[in-house]
Order: sequence, then C-alpha cells, then structure tokens
Amino acid sequence: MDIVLFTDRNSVEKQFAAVKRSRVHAFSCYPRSELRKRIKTVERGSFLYVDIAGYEDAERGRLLIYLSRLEEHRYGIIDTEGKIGDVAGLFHNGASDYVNRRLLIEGMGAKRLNKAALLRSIETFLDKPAVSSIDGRKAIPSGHDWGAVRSGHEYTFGMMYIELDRQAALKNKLSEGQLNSLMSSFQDYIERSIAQYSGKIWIWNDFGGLILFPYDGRQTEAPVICLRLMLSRKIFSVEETGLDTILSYRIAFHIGNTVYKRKGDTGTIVSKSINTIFHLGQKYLHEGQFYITEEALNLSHDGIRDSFVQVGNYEGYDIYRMKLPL
Amino acid sequence: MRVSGWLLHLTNRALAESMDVRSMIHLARRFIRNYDLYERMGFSRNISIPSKDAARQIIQDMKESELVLEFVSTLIKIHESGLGGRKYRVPYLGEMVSEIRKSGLIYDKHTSMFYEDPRVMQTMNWGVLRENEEYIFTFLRIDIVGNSTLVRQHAEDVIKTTYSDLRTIVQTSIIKRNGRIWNWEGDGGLVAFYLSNKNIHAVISAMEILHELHIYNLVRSVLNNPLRVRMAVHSGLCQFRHNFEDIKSDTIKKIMHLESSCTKPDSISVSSAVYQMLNQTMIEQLRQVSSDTELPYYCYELRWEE
Repeated sequence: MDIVLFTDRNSVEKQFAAVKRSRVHAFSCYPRSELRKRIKTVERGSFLYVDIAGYEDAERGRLLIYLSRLEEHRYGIIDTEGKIGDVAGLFHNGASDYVNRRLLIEGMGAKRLNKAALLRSIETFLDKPAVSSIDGRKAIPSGHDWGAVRSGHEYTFGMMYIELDRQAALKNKLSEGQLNSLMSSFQDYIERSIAQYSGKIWIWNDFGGLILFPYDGRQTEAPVICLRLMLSRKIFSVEETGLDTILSYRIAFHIGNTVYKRKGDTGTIVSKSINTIFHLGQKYLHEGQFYITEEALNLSHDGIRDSFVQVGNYEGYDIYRMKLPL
Repeated sequence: MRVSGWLLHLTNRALAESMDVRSMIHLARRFIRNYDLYERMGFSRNISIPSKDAARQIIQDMKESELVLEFVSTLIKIHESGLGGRKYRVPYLGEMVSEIRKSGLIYDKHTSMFYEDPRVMQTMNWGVLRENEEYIFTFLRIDIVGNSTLVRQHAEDVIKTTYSDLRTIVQTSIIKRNGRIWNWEGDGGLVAFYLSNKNIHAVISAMEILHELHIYNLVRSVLNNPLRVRMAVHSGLCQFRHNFEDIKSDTIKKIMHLESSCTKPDSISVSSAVYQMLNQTMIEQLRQVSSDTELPYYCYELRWEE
C-alpha cells in the first residue's frame, strides 16, 4: 500500500520511520500546500495522512470536507493540537484513522496502518478496484470518458437498456407525426440525462436502445442516472411530451465487456454481456421498472444499495429492482 | 433598455402604415391617460394631422415614458387579434423583434411581453419589470428542516458546503424554467416565476428539487442524516422591488405561512390558486389536504413502496 504523508513538520515525518522501513508499504511525504496537486497523481487506493496542526477553523473545515469527498483514497488525520472535537464524526465522514499527539509520539507502525486500511476497505469502493473479471471476462477499463476507446477493441462498459412501455397504445393513440415528435423528445431527454457520466447512445431502435458508459476499472456512477430517470418520468411527461398522460419506460443496467464499434456498425458484435442486457431488458424486465444485475450494483455507489430489492435470478444473474415512488 | 434609432424608425413606420390617426390616439391613450396628440404637436383640433407625423410624435412620447417595448408588444397583439373589433395588419414586426433581440430581449407569447434572454442575462426582474409596479407572480418557498439542529450538530464548513449544494440544486432546477431566486438566507429562500406557464414551472421545479435532494442524500451528502426540506408554491399579486427587503406582500406572507405551518418535511404544498391553473396530469400528482380555516391546499411528496 502507498502511504502518503502531508505535513510541513520534520518531527511528524520522523514518527513514520517504521513505515519508511517497511517492505510492504511505499512511503512518500509532501508539504501540505501540495495536497490537492499530489492527490491527482498518487496511486488510487493510497492511504493519505494529513497533519492539520496550525490550520484556522475554517481552513480545517474545508480540508476535512475535501478529504471526506475523496472517493479513491483512504485518509487519516494527524491532530497533535487536539482540534477535532468530534472524532467519531470524522469517521462518519469517511476517515480511516485519527492520530493524536500521544499516538504520534508512540510512532506510526505497519500494524496500525494495516488495521486502519482494513477499516474502510470493508465498506467502500476500495473493495471494488480489485475486480479483475466482470461477467466472466477479464475487466478491461474503458476509462473515465471516451478518449481512450478505440473502435474494434474490447472494453468493459456500463450498459443501460431503456425502452418506452405501452408501445402499441402509443402507436394507436398518436399520429405518425406525433409519435416521431415524441420519440425525438425522448431521445433528446435521454441524451441530456446521460451526458453527466459520459454516456453514449450506442444502439437506438424505434422505442429505445442501448447506452454505454465508460468504466474506469473501479466503479460506475451510471446507475444514479437510471434512478434519476425513474424519478423524473412525471416531469419529462409534463414538460416535454405534450401528452396528457405520464409516459412509462423501463430500464435495465448491467456491466460487462464488448468489442466497441461505432454506432451503426454494431451488427456483427458478439458479446455475452450485450446478449444479457438485451435479454434482461426485453424478456425479464417489467413495465415501468428499473432492474440492475448484482454485478453492476456491486460496482455502483454504496449509497444507492438500499434503494433496491432482489427480485430473482435470470440467466444466472441475481437481479435487483429499484423500489419505486408511489 | 436603450432604444435604438432603428427600432424607433421601424415602430414609426409600422404605426403609420397600419392605422389611421384616430386609432393611433386611441392606442396611445392605453399607455398614457388623457393623451392629447394635438396638444403635444401644437396643432389646432380642426386640422388633420398627417399619419407619419402623428406616428412619429406618439413613438417619441412612448420613448420618453420608457414604454416603447410595451408599445411594440401591443402592436404584435393587435396584429394577431385586432383592436376594438377591427383587424389590422402591422408591418415590420419581424424586423422590430429582431432589433429588440439585439438588446438581449426575447418575446414571450404567453405574457405578450419582451423579457431578457436567459442565455444572455438573468436579472431579478427579467430585464423588464418596473420598480413599485404590481404583477402576478408564482412563488416557490423552500426551507431546510431543522436548521438549528443541523448547525449545532455539524462543523460550520460542513453546513456551509451542504447549504451551498442545496442552493446549486435549486438554482439548476429553477433557472431552466426561467425562475429567479429573489431571496436566499442560507437555510432556504424564495424563488419567483413570472413568465409563461409560471404555475407549472414552479411546481415542477419544486418536484425536481425534491427528487434531486433524494439523490443527493443517497450519494453525496456528508451529514449524519438526510438533508430535508419543506416547500410551498403559491401565486398572487406582488409589488416588484429590486430590494427584496422593501417588498410588502400578502402573497409572500401567505406562502411563508403555507410552508411553515402546513407543510410536512420532504413535501411540497401547493395553494389552491396555483392548483386551479395546473393541467390534469399535474393535478393527478397532488393530494388534497383539508384545512378547517382556509381554502384546501394540495400536497406532493415522495413516498416509497416498502
């Protein structure tokens, strides 16, 4: 594990001597002013120790919020002045260690670090990066965005299937022009909604399609978009369709591998995961529901887990259903 | 707004070429009470005034009274639905609208008025409302539940960041529906809607804020417990003042009361005045709440299946 200490005091760095000597951990130390810059370059999953001595209240508060929002690193606070009143609150906000003056004088050892690292690895995404295979194939991260994705190469993607419900009724009720206009609004709405997490419509048929999200090798935030889409059906219907009813759609989400080819050039793609998402969406998914495979849910933000209930197993995948608003 | 010479020229010509002098005077009196064109021009009443000269004088007077935009809006309405039962074909309307657009204002058919293009600027009065004048607004009031407790339980910066996040959620939702935050006090505020579909826009903004806050609590909040809000939507007359503190309005008092006394956490109360203006699809999303002392109001909340 990489241990990165941010302090302006040599005396603090000295107390990490045992860590420096460790063959298990890689240790580095930087001035505190470089914290935000260095965090961008240190190895993901590193353990950061930050010395908060001498900070004003406001500056310390800002720093703690910043650290609490780090999703790719664990962190510990070195508080030799006893400025943190609510130490438990620190842990509630994601800290993994708290080192006061007495503990620092005793010295930081590998044993303590291992314990601290274990604390958060039990409950956070840091379990997730170790994913070496997804849906039976080696995970091949496609990145944070589409910059590194090349046509003809295989990658791991978040896969979202979305389709309008009650298609026959829509065809009967609406003229061809109205239906075209509705579908155009629906597609626009989906494109706007998925843009936040770099989603891209990959295959689009008359009433819906398949959207791919780049997967960075750690986690996928894209199911949050699906949650939002399920919540905003009423808003979309009222504001953008011009219809006098609430439009219903269904969503399925899975994660897996496929060879990426440009939109429109996807006819020859053979992918177990693509088959799975289409089967799930077209054969198992119910009207107005959002289903997600366990594989995808495990790689999603932990906060959304309680929004789902298990509904069964389909083609060997445990499937979870979003609890819907009444 | 600075009125360009070209706009004045176009408006002169539009007026002169679309109606006779008598109709012009009739129209001018809609804007300036007892407007006397003969007196303004120094003509004796038994002399007929040429159309071009009459139009030029009227438009000049509109300019001095800062009424050119309203005058152009009225010409558009007259072109569409006539004046005093007569139809008029008003030329140069497209050119006038284009000229006004250069000043960052666009035309809203629902309210028949020009207002600022939100892509260009977003001011408290949509660029056109006048100080001290009364208008019918729809208001959205939002308030954080248990503000004092939250402040006691969390560090100042946690609170500042959280409340700032909430404001961002509110701002994002209302700005795309042309709402304006008139007042924000850290733990909540008041948003005004004035333009087209203002009632629907206010209610939908509130619904979206509630949904976004739910997602915020799931994936982003650093508080120990979910951040909760109460919201209310109400519509009515209110004087416009640039300084919010100077506004004295029963409509605002009513919405404050509706939010603080009638609204449960995580829900939206919609007044009867707003409810009456919603379409059927929206109405179906609301549940009536009886009130012994006042008109009924209507509630929207996120309730989840078990």
